[in-house]
Amino acid sequence: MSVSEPETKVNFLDDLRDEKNHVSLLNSKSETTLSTLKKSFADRWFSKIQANSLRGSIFNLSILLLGTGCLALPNKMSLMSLTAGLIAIVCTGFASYMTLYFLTFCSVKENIFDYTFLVKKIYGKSLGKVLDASLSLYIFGQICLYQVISNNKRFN
Amino acid sequence: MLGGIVYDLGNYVQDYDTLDDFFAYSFWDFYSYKYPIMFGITFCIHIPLCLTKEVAKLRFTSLLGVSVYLIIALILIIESPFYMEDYWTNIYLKDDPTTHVNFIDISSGFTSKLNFFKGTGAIFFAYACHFGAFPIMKNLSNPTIPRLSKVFSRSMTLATCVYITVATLGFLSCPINTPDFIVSRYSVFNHDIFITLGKFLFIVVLFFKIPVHFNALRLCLLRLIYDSTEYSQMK
Repeated sequence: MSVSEPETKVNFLDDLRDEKNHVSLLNSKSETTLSTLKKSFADRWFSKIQANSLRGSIFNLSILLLGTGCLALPNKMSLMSLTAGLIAIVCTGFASYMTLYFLTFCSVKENIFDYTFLVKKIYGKSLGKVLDASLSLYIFGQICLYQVISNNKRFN
Repeated sequence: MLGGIVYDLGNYVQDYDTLDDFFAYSFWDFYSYKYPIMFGITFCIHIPLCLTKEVAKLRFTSLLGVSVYLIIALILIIESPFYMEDYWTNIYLKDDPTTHVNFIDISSGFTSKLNFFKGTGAIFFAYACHFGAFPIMKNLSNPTIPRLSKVFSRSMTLATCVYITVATLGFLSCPINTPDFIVSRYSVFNHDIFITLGKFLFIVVLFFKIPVHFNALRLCLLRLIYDSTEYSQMK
């Protein structure tokens, strides 16, 4: 019950906003209702993180992004020069965001929230299998890497 | 264990000349200490967390992980002035170009070692998260494009800020012979408690990162074998 309540509120707010933006049905009284229902700053940033919430999703994606590569970046900067390294970090971040955005756009339009099924739908079954196999190897390698680093005396 | 074997085979080709070297310096040294720790952590932390079916339930471990990276960045910010001072007073030699900081000389990346491509490759891999984005999209309530875009933009901004901070300060604090992992750099202090704390926290984060990756791995394997992820979603 406690989880479903905020969702209902968000959906209701979205409906109100849609009406405001597209149908222009909101009068001044409804504006007051909207502002009173809006979350306060403290609620927005310091309340308990609900399952499937925006903040929970941000942290889950952030921890996928922030990996061991983060601590290896100074070494890579020494290989490339400081300026080139900074440019590469910013450009790669932007490229990563754009590719994620395109993937999101495709998945929302097709209503498929699965990487392989989306690739299968767009490119065919065989490429989906190739993607699954390569992803499995990649993630398995990463998990092994984490185990090795965390138990390696050269690091510790 | 498989990871350890792969790692050692790679190192054996590169670093170890004899079998004695292998046993002295390989991943399997001090196995009497390592085995209980490895298996203890696997049974007590990894297996229970890996059994969760939805990645959204791991949001608090993710919060912990993000906090630890921010703490490491903070430690680097606090300590880097001391390291920079040490570099400019003890290491830097005006007449020796090998001791100079490489600020803009991009040509050093295009030697026979092709360091530029090694560097950019590592940076691209640092941003690879697309395989894990789909479970997050699926689990997000009201997954509209603006909301998803907000998740991606905020995560990317946070990660880019941490990357730039760690990369710049880490490189400037140790510009000559920069170690593979910046927390393994030489110490200018007698007892560097903060970086030891940072290493410990980083290892804790690695423990909690494994279940998040395992969730994506499980879905990939199920799709590959059964052509469906229903087995993973069954109650």
